[in-house]
Amino acid sequence: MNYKINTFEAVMIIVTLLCTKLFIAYPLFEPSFSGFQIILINLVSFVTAFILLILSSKFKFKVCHALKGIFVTILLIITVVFTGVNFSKYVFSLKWSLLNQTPESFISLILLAGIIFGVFSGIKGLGRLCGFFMPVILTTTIILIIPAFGQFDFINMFPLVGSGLKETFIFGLYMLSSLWEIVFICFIPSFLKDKVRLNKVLKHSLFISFLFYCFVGVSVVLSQTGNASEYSEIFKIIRTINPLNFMERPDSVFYILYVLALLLYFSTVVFFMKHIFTEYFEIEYSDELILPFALLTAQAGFTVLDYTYIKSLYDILFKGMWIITLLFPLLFYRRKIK
Amino acid sequence: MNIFKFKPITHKTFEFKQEKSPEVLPKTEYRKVSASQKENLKLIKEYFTLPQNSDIKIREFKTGGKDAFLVFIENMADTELIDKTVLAPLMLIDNTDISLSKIKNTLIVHNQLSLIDDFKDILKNINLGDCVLFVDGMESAISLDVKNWLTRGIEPPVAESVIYGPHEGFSENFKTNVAMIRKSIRNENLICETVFLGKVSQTPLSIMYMKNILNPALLKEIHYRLENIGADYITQTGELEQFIEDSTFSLVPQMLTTERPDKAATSLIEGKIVLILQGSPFALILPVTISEFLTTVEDKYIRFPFAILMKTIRLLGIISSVLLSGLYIAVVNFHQEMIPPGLLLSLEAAREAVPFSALVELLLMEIAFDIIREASIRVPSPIGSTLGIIGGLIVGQAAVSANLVSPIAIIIVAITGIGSFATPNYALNFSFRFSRYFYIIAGAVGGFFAVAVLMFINACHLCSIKSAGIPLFTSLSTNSSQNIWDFLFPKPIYKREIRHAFLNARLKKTQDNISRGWDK
Repeated sequence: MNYKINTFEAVMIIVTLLCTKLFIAYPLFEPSFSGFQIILINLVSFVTAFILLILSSKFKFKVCHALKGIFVTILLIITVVFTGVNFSKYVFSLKWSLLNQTPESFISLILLAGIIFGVFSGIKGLGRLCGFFMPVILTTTIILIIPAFGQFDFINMFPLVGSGLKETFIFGLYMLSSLWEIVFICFIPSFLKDKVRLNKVLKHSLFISFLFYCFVGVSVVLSQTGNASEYSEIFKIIRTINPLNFMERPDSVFYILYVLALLLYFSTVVFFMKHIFTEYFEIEYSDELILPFALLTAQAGFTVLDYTYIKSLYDILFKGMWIITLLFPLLFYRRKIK
Repeated sequence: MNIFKFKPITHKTFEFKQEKSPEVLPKTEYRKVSASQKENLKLIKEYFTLPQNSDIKIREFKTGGKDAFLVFIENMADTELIDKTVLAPLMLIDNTDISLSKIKNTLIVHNQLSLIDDFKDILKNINLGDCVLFVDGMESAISLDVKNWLTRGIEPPVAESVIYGPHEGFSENFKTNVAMIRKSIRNENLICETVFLGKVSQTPLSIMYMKNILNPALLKEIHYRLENIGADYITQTGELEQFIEDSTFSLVPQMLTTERPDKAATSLIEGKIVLILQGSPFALILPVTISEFLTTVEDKYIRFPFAILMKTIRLLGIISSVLLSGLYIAVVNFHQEMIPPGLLLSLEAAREAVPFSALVELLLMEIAFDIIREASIRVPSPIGSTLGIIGGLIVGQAAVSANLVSPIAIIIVAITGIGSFATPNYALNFSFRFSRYFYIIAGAVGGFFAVAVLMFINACHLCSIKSAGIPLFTSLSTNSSQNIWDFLFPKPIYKREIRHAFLNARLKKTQDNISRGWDK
């Protein structure tokens, strides 16, 4: 079977992994941040991630099979827990903003159905889905945010380095926690049609993600919507606009993007979980693992049925995730294109 | 009358016994043509189960002092031609010594004949409408192409009519259809292979392709699929499609059916395969992508700015036909905040007297609309328009007056109905009609959330299904030479230089880089 994807699809898969989380919540926000500072923070984190990935592709770290098994297990556990927490945050966000009467279990089930369908499409299907939907999602989100510029306070763009250069640098590294999905990028080369395109994929995907992170980050800072935690910041910004006379509140349209983006994200993450597991254990038929992995992810998020706990668990995990971003690409980077 | 002696009138009924399977007939053994006239005649009668098989005609006669006979099928062979070119010269000859070469070279006045010595080929040719001549003492038979199948004339296409462009449609005769394509592509690289489908029906199927363009792997795959059809009876392209498609349970067609020779010819030039089955006025084109289902041949014939405009309007119609009902339900049930207060009040006022929920109301109307549409196809065309008037005007108006449905529901159903007619492909129209119900239910269950999840599932499905090994969504998401922008905003015809990359054709370009040589 031919499982190869083209450059554009690979770029869009990485953009999906990195950018769609922003629809749940902007990962790092302090009231003291200025607009330029958030751009610098993103610059530091993305440049670090890029250098790290380039370094990973240059040097080969030999790890014995058993040790690698331990790292694979750690990676899978962290992925399940972090994605589970993201999933439950997303479900709660949907419930509070749209489906107040609907139980969380029902929302989760419908989402799970979508995720399972997504993972069953395989890497080629996901590549095409991301290639089709992501440009639409990103463009529409930007178009929906632009009318809110009138309500932004552009004074918040300054001072240039916000709360300080040292803090900017530290937050930049800390922001790496939000880019932990770059570990999955290490597995993308085996799906690519040729190795020459790998650098191009990395550059393009990280650049697009950087721009989107900056756009959303600056919008969050300028609109001062980043303090409350229940809803997505993007949703709150879009809720303030009134672009057309016919549409009283266009934020409902945002739900379509919101759902599509997050379904793409969860499907891609579950696909990579399944892929890593089957690769390490050399399992030939892996479709049977889709349902357990999807259920496990959803279940992990709902072990604690309280949003406060989920939020605090997320914060704790976020503090440590930058280690995964820094360490794991060095272990898992694929040089060979099968 | 004594009621205790009453016996109801009984009719003899047929009981189909399932317990015992009927005897399986032994497999036919085809033999070689014998020098003995009697032996050949006996074999032909056996093979064709004569005299039961009434339209198989055998004409025995004498030629040059030898016994001879002709076999053909009534209404499939041109009897007048047989009389003039075969019987007359052979029967009028003196009792001179004749040989096979003499019959072939000097006696039979016919342009297409061949010598066959195997009964398998003889039967196949007779079944195709040829006439086969046997002469005593000769170990080969002469097959003459005298086919004259009954067909209706060439008529305009019914389901794919256009303003600009030819008004010729395929007919039920596959030879005519092949000739119509050959009329468009007069090139020695156009290949028309004929295979026979159905173990019993032996329906001829023409596989047409451009030898110098088509990827041979694709042809090999199609041959493999066709050779491995174990059906007894295939007569229509709809049946054939189901035998060779990739995803049987998919709502989306995976092959393009067309009744337009120009569309088939264009597809051949692009590097696709066209299948033409005897008895069907539709040709199958494969492989295809979703963009081809949404494009008409007219998009190429009219000037490109108008083509872009028409395509945009068509897409809007198609999107509204699938999503509008579901979005309406979602807005009414979950997202009332989207609607301005004035409109919301008038909507509520219109729905006030309706006893049903918006979901039931819309489902009722959609089902009624589909019933009217289905009925109008089945009834003769003069009554069809009357049925439309009764359904559309009288029933719709009466339903609103009786407060069964609100006027807004009628408007929504009418827009979705009209939108569905904008779908260029009839098979895809079925798919949209079917999926609309799912979107209505999704909109009623979870508003935009459920509609978005269903859209995602739908997209996953579209991304995973294939047409002859080519993903249906290929052309809409890749960054190859043909992508979504190319689909939405096609270039002027003189700038379309490259063939679809997904076909991986032998020839990559369709025309010169500067096709308008005078404009250098």
